[in-house]
Amino acid sequence: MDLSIFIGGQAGEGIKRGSMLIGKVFNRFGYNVFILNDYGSIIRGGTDYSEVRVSNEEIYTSYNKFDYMFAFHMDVFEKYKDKQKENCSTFTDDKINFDSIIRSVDGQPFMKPSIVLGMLTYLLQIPVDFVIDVIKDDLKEHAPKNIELFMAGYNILKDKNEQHIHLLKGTNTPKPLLYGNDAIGLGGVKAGMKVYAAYPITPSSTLLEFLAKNAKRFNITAIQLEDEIAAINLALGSAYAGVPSMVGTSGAGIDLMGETISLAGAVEVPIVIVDVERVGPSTGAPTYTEQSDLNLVLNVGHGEFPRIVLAPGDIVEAFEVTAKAFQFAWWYQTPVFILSDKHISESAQNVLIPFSNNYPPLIKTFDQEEQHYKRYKLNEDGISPLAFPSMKDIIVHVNSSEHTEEGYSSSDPKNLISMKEKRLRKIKTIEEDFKLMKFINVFGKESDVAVVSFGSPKGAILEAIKDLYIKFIQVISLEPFPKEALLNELKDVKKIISIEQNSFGQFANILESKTGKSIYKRVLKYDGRPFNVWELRNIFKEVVK
Amino acid sequence: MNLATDRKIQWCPGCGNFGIYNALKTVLEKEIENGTLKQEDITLVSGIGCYGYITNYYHLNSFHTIHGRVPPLATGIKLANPNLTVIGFVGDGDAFAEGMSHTIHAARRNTDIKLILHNNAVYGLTTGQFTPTSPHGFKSRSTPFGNPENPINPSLIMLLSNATFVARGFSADLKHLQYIFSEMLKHRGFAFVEVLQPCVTFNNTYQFYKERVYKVEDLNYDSSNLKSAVDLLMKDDEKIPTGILFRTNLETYEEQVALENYYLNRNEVPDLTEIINEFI
Repeated sequence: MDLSIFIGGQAGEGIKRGSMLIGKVFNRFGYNVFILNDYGSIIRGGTDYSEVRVSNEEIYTSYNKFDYMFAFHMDVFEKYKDKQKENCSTFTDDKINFDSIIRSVDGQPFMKPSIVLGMLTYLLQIPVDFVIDVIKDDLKEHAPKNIELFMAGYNILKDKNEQHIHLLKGTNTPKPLLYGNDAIGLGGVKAGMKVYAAYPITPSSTLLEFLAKNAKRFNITAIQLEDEIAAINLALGSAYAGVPSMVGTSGAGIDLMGETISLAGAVEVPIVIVDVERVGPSTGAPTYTEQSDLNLVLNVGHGEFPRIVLAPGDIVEAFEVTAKAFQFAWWYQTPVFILSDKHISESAQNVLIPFSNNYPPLIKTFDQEEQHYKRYKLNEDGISPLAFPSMKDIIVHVNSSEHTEEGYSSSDPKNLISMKEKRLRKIKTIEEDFKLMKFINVFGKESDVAVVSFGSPKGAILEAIKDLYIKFIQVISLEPFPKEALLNELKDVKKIISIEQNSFGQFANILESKTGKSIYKRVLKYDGRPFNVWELRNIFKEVVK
Repeated sequence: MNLATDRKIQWCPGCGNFGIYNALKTVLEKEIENGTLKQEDITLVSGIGCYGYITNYYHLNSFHTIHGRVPPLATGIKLANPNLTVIGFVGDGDAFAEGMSHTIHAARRNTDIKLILHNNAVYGLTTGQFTPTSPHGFKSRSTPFGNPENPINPSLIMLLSNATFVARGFSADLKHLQYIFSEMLKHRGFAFVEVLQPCVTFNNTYQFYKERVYKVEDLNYDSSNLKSAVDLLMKDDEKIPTGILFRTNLETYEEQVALENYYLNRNEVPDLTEIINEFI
């Protein structure tokens, strides 16, 4: 059983909120759920839809072909009707008068998805009381009106004696159903983040909203600043004063943060930066997904300094990678990027996140026995002991100008060389440490065909390689690049297929130049929509044939 | 108590930065000796310009940062550790050209930081270009035929941005500067001190200011009235008022956004179990 439900309407018709409620019902009913939100970059008048995919198998992405289509307006249906599966049941506003149902209970347009939930409950014969309990839990004081609408939807199809099936309760234990941005936020909190600073930009704004809403319970401060530049400078100030801090934005915001990312590299103050990629260049298509900031995060900031770039492939990894990003930022005292994208950050999935894992802060602390604290003390691994203002008998000078070990400005040639080389030693240390950590994932079967990718295509690839003789290597750390681990995995591979969501093949270029391997087939997608399982599967079959 | 470091001060002889450096040094040393401030709890931030090197010369925690970004950086420091007294040094180009919006937003938030503006109306470090405070007609390296722009008035901008403490001093009047700096340190909330200073190399204004500055403290001036402060700064005459132009008390930004004592439990991670259940 693997079914996909389409709910389409205009912005303002509660599509996103409603798909979450429907997802919750299926989650509690024992199924795996994946929710994709497709919406335009306008408040009113656009056509939005959500796909709620439900399965008793493991699923990792949207399917993009539908068994049930609910559309509040014909134009939304027309736009996506070619994505119907065979025998797809469609319910459009010429057949079901959603507006009059809303009027009949004096409801609001954004409550329309509750009617859909009622119809689905009938079509799949899910126990009514069970669903009502979920609505009550989820919508609290807003539940009564939505329950009325839910019952109206249910009764309409019942009265029509619409064809239905009997969906048995699934066998899974319900799991947290959350958006990728929620997982990133929780990962930060779990790792001790205390300050989150941002400027609104899609698709990262929901991260700010989630953290701001829960700030009290998380014991954090989540604030909006006048721009991205202020956000990252504020976060860097907090980190200098000893508090783990993070900023979140999308590519355009990373452009603005560039000078401060370079500053963070120079002053060796820890900072975690989330880039939720969207379609570029410039304003591009802000509500659609792309992976075209890879070169940006690998290169942003002038001069030479150590950095770490980590790309989660799904919502579980979004949590873990964020938590680890804090550990790395604070141990290595340098910027750490989390490269997410709209497809991870604004999609929801019910997942088992290892919330019980601990990510203790790792800091090389100052030995109080030493006479004078030197912020940039030269040593073998390039990582100097960290201290903060307010520590007794310690003075912490940090300096954007090239500095002495004490942190005083100095452009003496010997000093320039020693500080450059200190940072080079740090880069080397990070590279050596990362070799010992697992920063690639390997899936599938041993084969002479391998798929390589990073980030959100993971889900579609995992499903597409099922039963095929193909190996899938997912790269999580883009900087340092896990060259040795990849070479090891690729040693018996004859054909490499790269998958990424941009037009340059940024990842493929890096992989080729770092490993010296050549890629047999580059699969590039840049229509703003995530990869389809079935499209990828056809490509893979072609290559393994 | 001596807060000087062993660094050789690299300003031109006669630079207005010396007056600011010495006045603040005297005030801070006194505060530390009196026990009203702890040395380790003072944190200085400076931007880019000749003045930016000032953090090298104080034996105090410091962050020498980049052009224009002192206000948000200082806000972050204060937010993370409210025990700190955070003093930012900014230049006229730094805070009113590239960093203009940060300065305004810090003021209107009533962030509990102190900003000292080194206003010499010229870019000294980059050898003599005009700045947002250079007078109309000012001949600089980048305006050889005279500045085509009209200057802004930093203190007036700060008043109109809801700054809760606005003062102006003259770098050649050390005693008066010391008074202003001590009052600045007493203020809880955003404090802005504009210091008029000459750049002896590119814009020597000693004589100009000496002839024009006067102290509002010598007059019957009410510094609690925003309108009279604005009127005073809008007045179209040759005289330049200095002293504490305006002060009031409001809740600070940090008091509003930083949750109770969170900074005291830095390493404490909240239990996520309860919130996770809401996702099921």
